[in-house]
Amino acid sequence: MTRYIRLGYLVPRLVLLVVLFCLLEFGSGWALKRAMIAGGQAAIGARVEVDRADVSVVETRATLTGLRIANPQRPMENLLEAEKIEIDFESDSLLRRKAIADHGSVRGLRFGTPRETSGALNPDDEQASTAPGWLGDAAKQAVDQAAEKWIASLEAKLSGEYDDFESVRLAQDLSKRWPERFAAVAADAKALQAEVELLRDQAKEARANPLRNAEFLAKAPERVAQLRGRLANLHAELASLPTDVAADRRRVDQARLADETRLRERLQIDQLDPQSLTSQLLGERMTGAVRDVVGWVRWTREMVPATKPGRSVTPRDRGVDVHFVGVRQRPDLLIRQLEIAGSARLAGRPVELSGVVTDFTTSPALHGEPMRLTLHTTGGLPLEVRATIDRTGPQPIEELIVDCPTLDLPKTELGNAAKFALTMAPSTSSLSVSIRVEGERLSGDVQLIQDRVALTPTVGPSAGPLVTRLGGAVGERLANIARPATRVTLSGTLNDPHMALWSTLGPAVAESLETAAVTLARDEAERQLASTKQKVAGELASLERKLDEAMTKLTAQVDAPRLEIERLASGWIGEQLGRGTFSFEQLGKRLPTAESLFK
Amino acid sequence: MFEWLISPLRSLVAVLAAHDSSRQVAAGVAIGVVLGLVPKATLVAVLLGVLLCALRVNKVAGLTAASLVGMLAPLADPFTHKLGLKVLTVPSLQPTYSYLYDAPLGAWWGLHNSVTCGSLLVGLYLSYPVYLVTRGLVDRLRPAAVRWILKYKLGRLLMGVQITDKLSAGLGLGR
Repeated sequence: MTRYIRLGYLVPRLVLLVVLFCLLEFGSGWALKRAMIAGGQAAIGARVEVDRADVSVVETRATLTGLRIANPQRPMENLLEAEKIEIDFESDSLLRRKAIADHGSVRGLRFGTPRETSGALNPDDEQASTAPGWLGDAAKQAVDQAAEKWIASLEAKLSGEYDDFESVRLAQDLSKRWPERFAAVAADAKALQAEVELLRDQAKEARANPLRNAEFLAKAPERVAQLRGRLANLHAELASLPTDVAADRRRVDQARLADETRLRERLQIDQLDPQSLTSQLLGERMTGAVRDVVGWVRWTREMVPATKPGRSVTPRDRGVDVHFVGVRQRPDLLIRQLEIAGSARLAGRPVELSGVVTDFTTSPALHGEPMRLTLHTTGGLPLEVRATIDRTGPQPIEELIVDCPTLDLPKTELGNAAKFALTMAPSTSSLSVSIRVEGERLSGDVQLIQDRVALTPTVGPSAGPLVTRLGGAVGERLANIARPATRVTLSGTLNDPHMALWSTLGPAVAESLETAAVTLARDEAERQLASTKQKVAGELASLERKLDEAMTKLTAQVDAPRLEIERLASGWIGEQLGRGTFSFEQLGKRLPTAESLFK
Repeated sequence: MFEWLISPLRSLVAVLAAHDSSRQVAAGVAIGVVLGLVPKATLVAVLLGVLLCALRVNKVAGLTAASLVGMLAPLADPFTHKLGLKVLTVPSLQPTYSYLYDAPLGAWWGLHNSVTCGSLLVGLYLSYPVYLVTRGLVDRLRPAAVRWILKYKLGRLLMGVQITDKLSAGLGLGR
C-alpha cells in the first residue's frame, strides 16, 4: 500500500487541510462576530455585543447568539436584543462572493431592554435625546396664555359688580327730583294762600274805609282773576303730577330693559378656541407618540441611507471593480425572507410579536425591491404594522402603516393638574397610523377614534374660586362624549416636521366649558338684575309713597286758597261793604260815580 | 527550542547555500514576485501561494520575494490599475469576462479588479525574466556565498554543519 501512496507526502498535507478547514469553520465565526461588532457600532454609534457567532462553511449557515444593540440615545437601554439569529445562505451565492439567503429567522427579539453597563461608545455621547417637540415652546406658551386669558376674562366678567345701571340712576334721580317738585308746588300753593289772605285783609280794610280804598276796590277784580288763574295753574299742575310720575316710571322700566340687555352683552362669554383647547389637552400626549415614530423613521434613514444605482466601476482600496456588461449585478447581502419573533412592551403592555422582513439587503438599488416589514402583535395590544423602506429609486421612501383595532387607553389626566384638568376615564379606541416620507418630505396622519369617553373636571389647588365654580358647572356635561376622534396630520420635512392636531374632543370640551360659563354668566346676570330690580323697585315705591303723601298735602294746600278765592270772588267783599252779596266785578259797577260821591 | 528559533534564518541562508538547484530558487523567486504583486485577498493570491508550497521550488526564496515585492507593490498600483482597467474594458472580451465572472468562484478570483488583473499581468510578464536573472545570479554567487558563510561559526551553525559533524562523530562515521 505504502508503495503506491506516499504517506510522508500525503499525511502532512491532509493534516494541513484539516487545520485549514477547522480554522475556516471556527475562524469565520470569530471573523463574523468581529465584523458584526465593528460594522454595527460604526453604523449605529452605540455598543453592539454578540455573545457567540457560528459560521458553517459546509452548511453555508451563520448563527448569531445573544445580539444586543445599545440605544445611542439612551445608553442604559438596548435598542434591540435578539436571542438567536439564524441565516441559511445559498451556497451558490457564496461561490459568487455574495451572501444571499432565501430564509432567515430572528428569535427572542426584544426592544428597549435595560442594560447593566452603558452602551455609549464615548461617555460624552451619554445624553438624552433632545428632539424638539412638535409644539414649540413659544406655541405652547401661546396656547397656555390663550386659555389663561379666557379664564381671566371670564373671571373679570363674572366677579365684577356693575353699579352703572341707568334704571337705578334714573330711579334715584326721580326719587331726588320729585320731592323738589312737590316742594315747588307746595311753595306756590303757600304763596297763593298768602296772596289770598292779603287780599282778604285788604278787603276788610276797604270795608272800613271804602273811599280810601277805592283804588283797591277798582283793582280787586283783576287781582282776584289773577289769583284764580294761578289757582287754576296749580290745579293743572297737581292734576299732571300722577301722569308725570307714570311717565317717569315708564322711563325707569325702559332703562331697566336697556340695562338688562347691556348686562347680558357684557356677560357675553368669549368664544373658546377649540383648536387651542385641543392642543392644550391632547398636544403632548398625542404628538409625543408621533414624534417617537418620526424619530424612528429618522433613525431608519440614518441606518439605511439612500444608495445610488451602481456605476460601471466600484472604487476599492486598490483599484476598481469592473462590472462586466451582461453580468447581473446582485447585492452583496440579501435575505429574501427573515422571520421575526419576540416580545415587546407597547403602551406599557407586554405583547408577543411575530412578523417577516422581506428583501433585506445592503444594496437595494441592485436588488430593485424595497424592504418590507410585516409585523403582528398578540397580547395586550394587538396591532398590525406594515413598513416599507424603499431605496430603489432616486429618492429614499419610507412608509409606515399601523392598524390597531383595539387600543385600551388607561386613565389619563389632560391639561394643567395644578389649575384645571380633565381626567379621562379608561376607554377603548382604534388607532391607525399612516406615515410616508419621500425624500425629505413628510406626510401622513395618525387617527385615534375612542368608543366613548368620560371626562371629569378636576380643580387643582392653585385654581381660583371661579375655576372651582366652572369645574362644578361643567360637572356632568363631559361625562359621556360619544366616539371622539383625534387626528394628527403630518407635513413638513423629516428634520422639521409640522403636525396639525385636530380633535372633536377639543370642541366638545370647549362647548361644555362654554355652556358652563354661559350658565355661570346667566346666573350672575340674573343675580345682578334681581339686585337692580330690587333697588329700582325700592326707589319707585319710595317715590309712590312720597307722591301719595305729597298729593294729599298739596291738594289740601291748593284747596285752601281756592275756597277763599271763590268766597272773595262770589260776594264776600260786597257783604263786607254792606251792600249785599255781589262779586268783585259787580262791586266795581255798583260803586257811585266820583261826582256823586263828592257832591 | 533554539533550533526552532533559528530555523527561519537557517532557511534564508539555505537559499544560497542549500542543495536546491538554481532553477528551483529562480522559480520560487518568480512565483514570489507574482504573489507579491497581486492583492492578497483574492483566490489568485491563494493559488500562487499553493503553487509556491506545492511545487518543488525554493519556498523561502519565494516567500522572501513575495514579502519584499508585496511591500513595494502599492507603488506600482497606478500603473497596474490603468493596465488592468484597459484590459478589463476591452469590449470584445466582455462576454468572456462575464462568463468567467458569473462562473462559480469567478468573483473570488478577483480578476475583475483592475489592480489584481494588472498586477497579475505584470507579474506574469516579469516572471520569466525574473526566473532567468535569478537563476544566473544564483549560479554565479552561490560558490562565493557558501565559502563566505562557512567561514563563520554562525554560518556553519546555521547551515547545520556542526550538528552534522557531531552526529557523524557520535555515530562513529568519521569524516
